[in-house]
Amino acid sequence: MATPGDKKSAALKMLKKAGASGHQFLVLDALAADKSVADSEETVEVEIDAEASLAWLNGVPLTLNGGKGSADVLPGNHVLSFEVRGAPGTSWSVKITAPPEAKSEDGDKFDGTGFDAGRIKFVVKP
Amino acid sequence: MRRIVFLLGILALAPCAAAQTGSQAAQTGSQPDRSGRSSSGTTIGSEDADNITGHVLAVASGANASSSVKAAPVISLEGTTEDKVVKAQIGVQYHGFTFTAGAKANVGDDTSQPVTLANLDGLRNKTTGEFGLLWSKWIAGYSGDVNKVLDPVCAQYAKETGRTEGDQFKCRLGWFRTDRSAAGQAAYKELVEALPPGRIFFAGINGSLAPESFTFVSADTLVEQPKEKHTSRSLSGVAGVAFKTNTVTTFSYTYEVAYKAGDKADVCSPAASGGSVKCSQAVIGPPGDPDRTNRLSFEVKQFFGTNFAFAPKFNWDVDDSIVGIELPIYLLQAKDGGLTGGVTLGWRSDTKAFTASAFVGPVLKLITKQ
Repeated sequence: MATPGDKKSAALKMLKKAGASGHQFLVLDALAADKSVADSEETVEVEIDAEASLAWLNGVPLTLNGGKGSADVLPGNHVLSFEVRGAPGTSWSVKITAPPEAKSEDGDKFDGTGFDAGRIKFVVKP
Repeated sequence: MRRIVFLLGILALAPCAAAQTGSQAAQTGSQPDRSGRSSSGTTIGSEDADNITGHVLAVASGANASSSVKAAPVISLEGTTEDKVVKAQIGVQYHGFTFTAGAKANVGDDTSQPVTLANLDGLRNKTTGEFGLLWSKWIAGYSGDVNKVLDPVCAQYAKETGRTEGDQFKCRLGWFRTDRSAAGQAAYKELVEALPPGRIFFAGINGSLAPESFTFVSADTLVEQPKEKHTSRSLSGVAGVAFKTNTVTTFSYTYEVAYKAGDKADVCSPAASGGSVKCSQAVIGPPGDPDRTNRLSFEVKQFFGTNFAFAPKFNWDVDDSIVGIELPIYLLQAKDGGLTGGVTLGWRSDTKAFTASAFVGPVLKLITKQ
């Protein structure tokens, strides 16, 4: 008869084989201990300065109001992807302003197409 | 800098924020992510999440339909005193909508006194109250998260060059454009083909009110008459599309009611003693009926690279059947980038006159607000 510890161990091995790492184990561990991970969430704040912009956080569309948006994420590796448009020659910028360990930015001047698309990888710590 | 006094709470100092489109989230509403949760769920998983992780996260966070994406309106404030015009505006942006309201007034050379744009009775004389509502929606050429396109391209570039993303290269279309290596140009070409800019649709309304007190003397008796109060006003609607070729077409309609003061003249009266007279300038007669104008406009803006653009505009005064054509040609670049001036050619059907002049103005944007 497998004990809860054996089940957890087996589940961890399966997850590791599947490529899970970092905060996924933290989440699973909390689940096994019947703890909430809600307090582990950090708010990521994003600011985009461009005439038009679209953004995604880990593949989920990020609502932007006046170029600003935020979402709660668990500790781990994350990616902010974005598209920006504006008049050729004008400047644009994308900034992650919070949490402190995730602060980063990208920016440039639009070329003749008036369009750019990219991503920023960042880490949120527990 | 001139001091500005605001007696109305809503008339804070505020910028006319650049037009912004709503996010795709706003356009598509709730949509499932890879974990099967609503995109408006409580917590967003990590970028390397797989199905198992997605499930774990959904359970762990107690994800439900409530939104974790903060969507409070963004308020921006600005005050300017450029070109002897004092202007204050408040702007609120929410999803694809931008609302602005404010006031502006012409001021003289005296900058030592504060300017009151409004008080509790309303707008002050010579102050124009303005409001605008602009909606815009960007339908990008690639539907969905662009990271799905970027990820394999950037991984291939990293593999070929041995560079590390973040430290040694940026996983971005514009960055690859500047990398002249074979790997960089291959990545750029692939991204350009997979990520077309798409189109931006926009529409809006703008209105203005300009209450004014008119002081004048009777044309018959030259005696000063009681002041008349009239409010000039305008309402306009605009709609357009910014295409992927950086061609922007805009239709607009404007209705104006404008009161104008009568002509000024020297009015002379006998002095108190002797045979001399004293003269002063006065407006003869009341403002009379206002000029009412219905005007239709069509503008085509085209950017050619970063150094050149033109924006021909056709105006039709419906009431007087007057056609006006303007052809601004943008050649001058602003210090911080963008086109800001050039020469403009014009023609009017009523006078049959051609005009040409140099101009400098605000940086030319894709989206025309009015």
